[in-house]
Amino acid sequence: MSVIYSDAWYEDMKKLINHSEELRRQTPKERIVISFEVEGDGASPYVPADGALYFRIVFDEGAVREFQPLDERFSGKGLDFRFTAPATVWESIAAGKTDPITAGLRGSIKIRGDMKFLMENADGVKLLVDLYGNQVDTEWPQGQPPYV
Amino acid sequence: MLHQFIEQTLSDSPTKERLARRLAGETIFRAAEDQDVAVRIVFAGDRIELRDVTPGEGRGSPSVTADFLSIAHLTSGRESPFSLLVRRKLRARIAPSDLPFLLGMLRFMRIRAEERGSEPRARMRRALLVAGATAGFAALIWYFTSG
Repeated sequence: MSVIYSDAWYEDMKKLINHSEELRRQTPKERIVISFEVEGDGASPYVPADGALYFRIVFDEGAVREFQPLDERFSGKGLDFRFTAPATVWESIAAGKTDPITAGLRGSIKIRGDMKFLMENADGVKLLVDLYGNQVDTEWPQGQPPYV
Repeated sequence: MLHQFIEQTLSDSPTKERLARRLAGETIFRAAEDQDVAVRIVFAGDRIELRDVTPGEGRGSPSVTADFLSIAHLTSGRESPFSLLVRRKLRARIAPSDLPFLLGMLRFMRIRAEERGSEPRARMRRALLVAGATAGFAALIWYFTSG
C-alpha cells in the first residue's frame, strides 16, 4: 500500500501497468508520451488550491518506461497527450468512485492530443484507466473522496 | 471529446469536409455509460453544430446510443455500424426517412477506414478498370483482325 502521489505510488502504478499482459498487447509499440495534470480545486487535501501536480507517463514498445512526477508543467514538446482535471476528479477515479470514461465523456477531464489515435487505441486507453481506478491499493492519509 | 474528434476530423481531411457538407439533418448522440451525457449534432451544409444536451432534453428526437468502446471501434473502422446495430451495441431511434442521414453521418465518423482503406481501394478500382478496358480493347482488335 502506498500513499497517493508518493514516489512509491508512482512506482506501484508503473509496475501494475507493466504487469498487465493485456495492456501490453493493446498498447501501440511506438513511443507515446502522456502528461497528466492534477489541478488544485480547494477540496483535495493533497493538492494546494492554487497549485497543481504534474506527472508524465512514457510508453515505449508497449511498456511503461517512465511514470514520474514533474517539477513543472510539461512544455508540450514531444508530448502526445495531455489529460487535465481537478484533483478531486483524479482522486475520485483513483479511489474507484468515478468511472474515468464517464468523466472524460462529461468533459471533467480535458484531453489534448490526436483524438483519432485515441479512438484507434481505445481498448488500451480503457484498460489503462481501469487499472488506474481500481487496482492500486492507495493509502489516503488525509481521507479520500468524496471530500466534505 | 466528440467536439474535438469532429474538429480534428474536419481539419485533417478535405474528403470528410466534403462529405459533411452533403449531410443535412440532426441527431443526438447519447453515451450508453451515462444517459445524461449527450450531444446534439446538427449537419447543416456549411456548418456543423455540436451542443451538449441537458438531462431530459430531446427525448423525442432522433438519437443514437452507444458506449465509448463501440464509438471508438466504429470511428476507427474496426467495426461496421451494421454489426454494432445488430449486436445492439449501437442503438438508433430514428424514423426510416432519417436512415440515409444516419448512415452518412456514421460514414463521416469512420475516419480511419477512410484514411487507410479508400486510397488502396480506389487504386485497385482504377487498376481493375484499366485492366478491363485493356482486355476489352485487345478483344476488339482480335475480333476485327482475326476474321
